[in-house]
Amino acid sequence: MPRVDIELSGGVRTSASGEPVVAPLVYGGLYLGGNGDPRADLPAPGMVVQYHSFAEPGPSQYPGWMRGWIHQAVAAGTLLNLVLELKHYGVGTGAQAFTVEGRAYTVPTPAGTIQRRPNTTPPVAYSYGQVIAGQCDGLIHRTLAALRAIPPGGRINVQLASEVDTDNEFGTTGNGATFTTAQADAGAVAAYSYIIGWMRDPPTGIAPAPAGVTFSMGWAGQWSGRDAYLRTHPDTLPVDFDAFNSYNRSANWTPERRLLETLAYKRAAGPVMRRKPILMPEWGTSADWPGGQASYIDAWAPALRTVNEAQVVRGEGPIVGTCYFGSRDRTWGLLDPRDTGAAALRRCYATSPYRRP
Amino acid sequence: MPTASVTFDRPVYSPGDTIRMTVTVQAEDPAPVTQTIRGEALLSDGTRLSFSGEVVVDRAAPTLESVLVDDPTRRVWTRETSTPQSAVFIAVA
Repeated sequence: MPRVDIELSGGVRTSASGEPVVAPLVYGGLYLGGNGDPRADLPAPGMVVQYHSFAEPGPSQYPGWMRGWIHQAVAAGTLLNLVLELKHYGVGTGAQAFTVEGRAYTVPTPAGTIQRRPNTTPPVAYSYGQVIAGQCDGLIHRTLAALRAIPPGGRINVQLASEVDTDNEFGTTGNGATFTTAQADAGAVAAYSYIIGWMRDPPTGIAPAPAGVTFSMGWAGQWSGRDAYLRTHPDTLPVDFDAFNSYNRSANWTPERRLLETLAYKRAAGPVMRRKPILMPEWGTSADWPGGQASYIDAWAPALRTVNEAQVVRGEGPIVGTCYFGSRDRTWGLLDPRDTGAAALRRCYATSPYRRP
Repeated sequence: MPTASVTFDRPVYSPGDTIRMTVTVQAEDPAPVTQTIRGEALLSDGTRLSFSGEVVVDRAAPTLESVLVDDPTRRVWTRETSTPQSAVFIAVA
């Protein structure tokens, strides 16, 4: 509880509690397609987001192939939000045999599918059942070993799943069985809780996740509705951060209204989840926002100030990191025109709540 | 025994905002009294801001003087103004 303590001569003490409440500084970042280097557009980003599959070798996850700049950025204080998916990215989907820190593992072929949108070929993924059965322990250990390279004082948040709700939106399959969305949501909570638990408290003889490593679970935002959010965000979910995205796409809403969409779901969650601070790995707006994309970006920081002040007054988790998703196409967030959008982002991140003026 | 109280100008601040904190001291002794003040504000973001100083409180002609500021955090409390029996400190949130 914030408070002020005062001691006067003679040992007289007094205090005031409940004030002052200060919203946190926020990390700001920019994502470019293909895990691209954003520094030409945003020098010294506060936050970097990278997307990888658990199927990849550990050093490909952190710091990433030819990504020495990420390690340097983390050492310099940038928050790395490392998204790790059970989804296989498509090359070499067979079983894997490897050794991690002296332990030999054989991880079977991914036995599930997710993102089963009609009229598409759903991607292959390690199923939630495979994770819970321990069949993916080698993958978890391999990631954990890679994370030991975190520089002293660095911060890496491991975000499990890019968007668990769109993974499960049309149900999932695993080991020959088909699961409804609700069943898949329950499976995801169990599987991701297993992974976090394994990394924090691994089997005897394996060191736990190093200091500076935290955990979240990705969620798309307003897309899937409150019931799906509440199913996937019980108070028992052992994450350090809540995580969801915010896009202004299908209608032109103000940044504040967009931010409040998913916060409305969070306010219906249990007391533990409500207090969790929020990392937003993706935010963006259509380039067709009235007045141009840059004007939406210019309105973002003041809206975030307002929303975060309300969150901390309520005793609920504020948004502590946001990364603009400058990829996909111009209806989602691709900066168009690029230079104008990048300049707006630099202005945005140069002001409160991203930086003290 | 003297007493002190604290008020803030707003219920919530964003990073970079100016926090105005008013410290008011009430004297009980009719004679002018020199009081030392040592204080610490623990903000909700975990930041601790310390301040300390010496004040003269005269119930007949109450003033606060010679307020010094301790700045271990470099997010400084500085004295902005004084009114009888109170001093306003400001800092960057």
